[in-house]
Amino acid sequence: MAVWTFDGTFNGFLCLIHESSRRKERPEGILGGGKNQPFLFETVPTETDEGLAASVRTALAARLSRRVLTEGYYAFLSAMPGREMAVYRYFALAWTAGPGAAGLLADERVRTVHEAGRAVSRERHRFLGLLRFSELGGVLYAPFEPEGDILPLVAGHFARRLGGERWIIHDTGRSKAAVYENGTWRIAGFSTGGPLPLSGREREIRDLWKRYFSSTAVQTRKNPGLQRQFMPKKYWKHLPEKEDADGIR
Amino acid sequence: METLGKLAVLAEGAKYDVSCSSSGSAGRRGAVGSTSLGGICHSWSDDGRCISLLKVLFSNDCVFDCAYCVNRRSADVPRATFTPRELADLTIQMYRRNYIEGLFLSSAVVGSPDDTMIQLVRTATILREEHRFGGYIHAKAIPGASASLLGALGLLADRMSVNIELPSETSLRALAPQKSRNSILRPMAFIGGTIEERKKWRRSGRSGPAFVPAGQSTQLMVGASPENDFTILRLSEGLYRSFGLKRVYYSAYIPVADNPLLPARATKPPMLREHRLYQADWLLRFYGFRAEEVLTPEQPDLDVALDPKTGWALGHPDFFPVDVNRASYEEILRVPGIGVRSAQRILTARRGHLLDGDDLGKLGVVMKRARFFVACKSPAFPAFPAGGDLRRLLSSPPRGKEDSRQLRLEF
Ligand code: SF4
Repeated sequence: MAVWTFDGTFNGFLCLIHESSRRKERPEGILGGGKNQPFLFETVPTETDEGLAASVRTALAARLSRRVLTEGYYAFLSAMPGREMAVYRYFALAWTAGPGAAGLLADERVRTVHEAGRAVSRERHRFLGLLRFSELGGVLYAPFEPEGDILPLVAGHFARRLGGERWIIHDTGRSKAAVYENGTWRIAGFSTGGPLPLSGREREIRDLWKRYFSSTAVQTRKNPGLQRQFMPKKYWKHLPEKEDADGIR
Repeated sequence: METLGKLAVLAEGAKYDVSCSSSGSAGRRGAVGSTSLGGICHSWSDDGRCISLLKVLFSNDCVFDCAYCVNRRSADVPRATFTPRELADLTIQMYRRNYIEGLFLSSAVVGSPDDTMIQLVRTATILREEHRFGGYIHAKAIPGASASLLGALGLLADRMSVNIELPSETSLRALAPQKSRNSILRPMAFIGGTIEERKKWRRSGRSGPAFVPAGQSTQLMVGASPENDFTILRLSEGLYRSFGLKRVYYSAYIPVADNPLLPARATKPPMLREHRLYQADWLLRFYGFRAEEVLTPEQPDLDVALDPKTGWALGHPDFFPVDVNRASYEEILRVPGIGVRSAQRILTARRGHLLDGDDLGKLGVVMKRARFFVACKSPAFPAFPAGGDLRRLLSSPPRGKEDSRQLRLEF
């Protein structure tokens, strides 16, 4: 069995697809991002070339449609085990079936990828609202722990929204961050070695927000179940309005 | 008073759907999470409502004395007033941290309507010009405001509203003596007219600053005064037609004062009536109905047990069954259980083949209701009207408790 390896990035994945079509061979397993491969298997390492990746992307978009490419990209960013192989098989199917592949909902290869992609898109949408920045020495800093690898999917939104600022969105689970400065963002390895201390001013603004948050609820109509349905507890860790609430309920 | 204290008072003053603080709450139960402003909710309050905008009053220190309002001059409540800078700073700091999507800017009447408008314009100017704030502003104009100030605010806001508040001049005079129909309709007409002018201007290829790009809305209270649904619906129809409003919001009145002119404090807000009015409003805007078709002077109130479209259908047996394979779009739209989406799908799908009952189900038609009113390829449907039980069969029971208005939208 041949396991193909790549650097874990989507561009790397596109180059892997190119390599597989060049060799006319299909991987039986795909491993990304320097994960250890069991030595039992033959490994086929692949190289990432940004220029090549760009042309593969164009070619895929043309033959598979943008829609199929985007579905695949979102699923690629998901936390689904075996996502690389799933997306590979999805693209391979679409290569033969054409742009209509996205409509083949009865096909398990299509459904798996769409479901994973939809979860990613939902999570992205949630975090557009639930990310919380703190100002730390002139930089806005937002830590979060998304399930999917959604940094590249949220960065653009915040580049538009906070265009005149410097900011860092930190995926603490993956130890990387989107860093925005001078009008552009890039993704880089990142860690802080623990929670960062807040300034007095920052505390004040948090308190204002918490006060607003509690004043805005109609106390006689409390409905914690409904609240958690929209804003599950796993997100509370980084929400100032919920920082004292943990453990109370 | 410090900002923190003011915030508590002024958020409190803005959270109930009454008049100067009301924002037009479109959120129906169960529908809100997905229909926030720009689709983004930033948090959910302890009562489960989506928080999207910072919704506070600029001031609750009102010189007016509207009987239905918590902030009326004669009420004994703590008073507070922001400074424009204070509120602008608060907004930008919350916006930068991604706590909110924007500001709902409204106020009680401090001094005079124009004095208040000047403060609102200042607040929005600091936000837009000094803070370079690009987020959403919904500004509520003060009744009686002068045109020049409305014009200034409209250049800074995304959406504006002037609340019509009560459905008739008589009620307004009785309950809100300092307001008049004129002081409400004039600003509305000005905003509507300016939006229209801008549109023409743009159509002729010229550019210019945007004026209230997200449109104008209004709100009125239901159940505070004795007007019937027919009066309300005709009023809404007129507002849509004359001022090009985006939305009319209906708000079931929650008693906040002891006043012989108002429902007693223990009265439950008429939530179901509010719901039926929203449905009837929908018929006006998307289904090609006129107010006179939905209600009449002889039958001036909506049947709370039926959705208004079903009500109309039961009163017009001659119109049915509608043959979905032949009827026009407008006719199909009148069938209970068929919405705008499914009507459009029917038009597309019937080009291919004659539709039967299964097809209709797949196209999103609610067959449970529609089957009494359509004809299609399947002969199996009962002829209309199917016995005297039809009304009972089609009545939709109130969903949940009458007064549980958990989910309200904030823009
Ligand atoms: S003008 Fe009337 S409705 Fe508005 S805050 Fe004053 S009393 Fe209340």
